Amino acid sequence: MHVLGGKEIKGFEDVSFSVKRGEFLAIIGSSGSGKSSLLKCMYRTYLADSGSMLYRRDSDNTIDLTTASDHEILRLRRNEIGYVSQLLQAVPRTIALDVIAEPLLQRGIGIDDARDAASGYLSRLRILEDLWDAYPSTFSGGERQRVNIARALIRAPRLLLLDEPTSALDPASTAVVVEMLRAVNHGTTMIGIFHDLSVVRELADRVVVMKDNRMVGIGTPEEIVGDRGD
Amino acid sequence: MNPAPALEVNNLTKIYGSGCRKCIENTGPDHSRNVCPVCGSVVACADITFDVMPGEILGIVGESGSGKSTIVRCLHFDMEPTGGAAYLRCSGNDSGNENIFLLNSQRKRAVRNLHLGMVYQNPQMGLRLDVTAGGNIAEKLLAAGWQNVEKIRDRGGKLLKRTEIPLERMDEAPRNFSGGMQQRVQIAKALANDPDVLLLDELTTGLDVSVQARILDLIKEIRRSTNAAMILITHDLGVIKLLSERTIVLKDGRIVEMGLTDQILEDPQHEYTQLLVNSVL
Repeated sequence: MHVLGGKEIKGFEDVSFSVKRGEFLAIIGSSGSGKSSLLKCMYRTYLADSGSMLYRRDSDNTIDLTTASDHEILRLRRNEIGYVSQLLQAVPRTIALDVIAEPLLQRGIGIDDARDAASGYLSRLRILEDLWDAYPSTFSGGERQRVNIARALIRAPRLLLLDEPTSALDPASTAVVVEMLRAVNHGTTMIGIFHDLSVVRELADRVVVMKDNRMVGIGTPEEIVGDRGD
Repeated sequence: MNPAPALEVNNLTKIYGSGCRKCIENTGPDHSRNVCPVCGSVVACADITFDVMPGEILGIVGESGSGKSTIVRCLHFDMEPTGGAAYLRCSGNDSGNENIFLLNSQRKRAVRNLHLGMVYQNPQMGLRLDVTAGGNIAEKLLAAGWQNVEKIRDRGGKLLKRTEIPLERMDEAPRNFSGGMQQRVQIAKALANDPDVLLLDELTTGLDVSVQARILDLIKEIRRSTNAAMILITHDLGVIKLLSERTIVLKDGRIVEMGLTDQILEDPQHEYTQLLVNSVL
């Protein structure tokens, strides 16, 4: 295996796997199988009870996400690790443009440049310009989720965690999201939970199968999803 | 290189009353009380240790009487702690390696005037309500060493504009202002010296929601435009969720949990935090 840029993740009831830089790993499994918990442990929204999750940083030093200090995790979240939830967390009283620009503002980029970058995403996402200065809480589910993903991608994360980003979307919106994720440059490693197996086939390099809080399989989409004849 | 904390607090303890050797071990969340059964002293907070980074908002939550306000009042020298240390490491502070609690009163005043800002829940505590809004800010600027009257007035006007107080009311006393406006004058005053550490004690409690929202947006704007380390005291988990990335949970004067705000809200470890989170959602 490539050592360079590799990330190894262990723990969570016998869950062990590693993901290479630029790889897209899908996690599938029935509801309650522990998929989201696993992902939230990686982002440290949940605290892991045992095991380790080793993340290799750009600077090539390795950091254990289960034991890193809160300050270190916040730095990683600001600069390297992104998270996309199932639905956009409402940012009250903030227009769509600024919801997407905010991560850049946090990094100290000026408001005009940040908005420029954000408007680039909005047009690529095919969100009507009329809506750019509207509150995303008034958007449709599909539009909201596009804003949500743009907000994560604008940071150009090295590792992007996706928690069922398409599960609440209609087929047309799902297609836009899939297209966005396919267009992400190859330096970004992605780990995502999906229910829709056709999305998995389109995006994933490898697939992890979870069942009853354990990992029961790992392989290519052909090996895992193809076998099921879905 | 990792940035250094702007403020480090170690084992801060405040006991009201005579105190005895049993005070600490007989109080706290394990006993569900903060009054020492032996001597009757109140242990407002004990063994409080944390740090805050420049540009960070650290939330402190807990119910009434958990010791939240005591912490910031000790840090602002409004009251003297019984024990513990705090280090203010910011440029231009020559006491960076000294425990600020042990400085003489003159140097404490200098630290407060030059490096700290405070917003109290009750505007009466942070403002002279009968002195004009501009005068209140001038007072803080004079304390911070400003001398030129014209510059002071200019700075006062800019601060009031930033906190959305109409300029024509600069020469009016805050006593005539609404609660939300008084709070914004307090924030303008707290920002006057460009503080390295900004202490916010229940700043939106008691305000109606639309006024609250504007104040919280103002704090967000301040986070973006300054590098101040902020400590935000509140009993409202919604405020924490909106503003702070890290949170401390206090109970009976002790830290029962400290972590990333989303972890505190979604995966609370301590029984009391779980109760707190479930009471809201």
